[in-house]
Amino acid sequence: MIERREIELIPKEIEAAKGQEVLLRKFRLVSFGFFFLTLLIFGGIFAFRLSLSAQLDNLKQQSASEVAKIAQYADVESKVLGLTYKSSAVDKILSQREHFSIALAAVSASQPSGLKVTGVDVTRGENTATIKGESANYVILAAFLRNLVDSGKGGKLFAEAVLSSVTLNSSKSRAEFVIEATMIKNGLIKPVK
Amino acid sequence: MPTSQSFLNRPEVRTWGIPLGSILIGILLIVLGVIPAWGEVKDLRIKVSSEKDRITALQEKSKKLSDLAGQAEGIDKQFAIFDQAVTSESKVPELLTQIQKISNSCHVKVTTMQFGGETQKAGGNLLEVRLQYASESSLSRLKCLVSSLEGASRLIDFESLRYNLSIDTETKAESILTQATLISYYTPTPQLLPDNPIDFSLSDPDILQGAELLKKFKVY
Repeated sequence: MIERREIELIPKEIEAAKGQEVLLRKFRLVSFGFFFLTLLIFGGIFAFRLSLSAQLDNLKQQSASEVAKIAQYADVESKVLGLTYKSSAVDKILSQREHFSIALAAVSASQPSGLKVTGVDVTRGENTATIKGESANYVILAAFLRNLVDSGKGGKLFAEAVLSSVTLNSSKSRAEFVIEATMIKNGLIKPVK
Repeated sequence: MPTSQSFLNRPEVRTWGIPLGSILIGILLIVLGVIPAWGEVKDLRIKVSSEKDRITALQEKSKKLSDLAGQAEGIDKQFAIFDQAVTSESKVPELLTQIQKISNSCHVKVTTMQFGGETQKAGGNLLEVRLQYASESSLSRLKCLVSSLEGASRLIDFESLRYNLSIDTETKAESILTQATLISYYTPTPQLLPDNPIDFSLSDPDILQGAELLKKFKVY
């Protein structure tokens, strides 16, 4: 039998060297490609950034020019803003205003003959009024208490009237009293419009 | 330098050095160049966008002000009406004069009238001027005074009102002694900021109704 042996025309070392050469070429290609790609991306972003900066500078100049235009109308703007403040202030003041004249009128309307109101105390934001006075007798005082909550008299304003003290002044032969009258909610406020 | 020369001349360095160096420089470019620059680009894009919006708003404001400048006469007229009710400064002497005139018109004798300071009303462009007021009169005159103060062109509110009947021991004449804390108002000088929009119209129903209402108030 004749033994057939493969004849190796290219030595293994040369083949391995060629393979390594191909691998190295590919690696060089990838690395240079990667480098140039990153360079390209960086350059592109840098150029875009420069363009945006220039655009922003230009826009800032435009807005400065608009601000200067607005400054020319400072008088008008000041008047307009002032008018806006005042209008809303007037609206607020008048819509929240407590008319103390209503309280005085309600007390007077409830006052029977033979009774004298000697003092009234009303404070904004508080829903009670303190009424001091003197009466010829207790019947008149009782009538005054009724009148204060009578819808045709003081009841337009007062929801409740409580006698907090009563003293008989023997020298005057009169009953001196203090009444705490509770007002209805927003009773002193008149509708504005 | 023989050492470095020998290192650079080594065949593996000459073979792999340049491609590896390229990759390294590429990575450094990404880390030190691309990523920060991209962050800046994002910031710049936001700034450009907001600056464009700002310019649009400023142009609108400028146009609005230009239109309003053409209505200056009407604005001045309305301003005068509102300024009489709520002044632009505290104007305390004028306020005291007005209250004195109202008291005189109701034949009320003023015994004390004292400036009690200024305070800013919470959460608004409104400042308050406080006055301590005391007077002597009859009840009907006091009622006249209270009604007149409520109907005065410069707005005056009562913070408190207290009256007591006083009897003269000799003449037995009765009089009402009144003590009150009065509040009047004024608005501060507006601060003009270019970026604040103008949302004003002379035909605003609130302004027209307010002006009509204020015309009913009496000037003292």
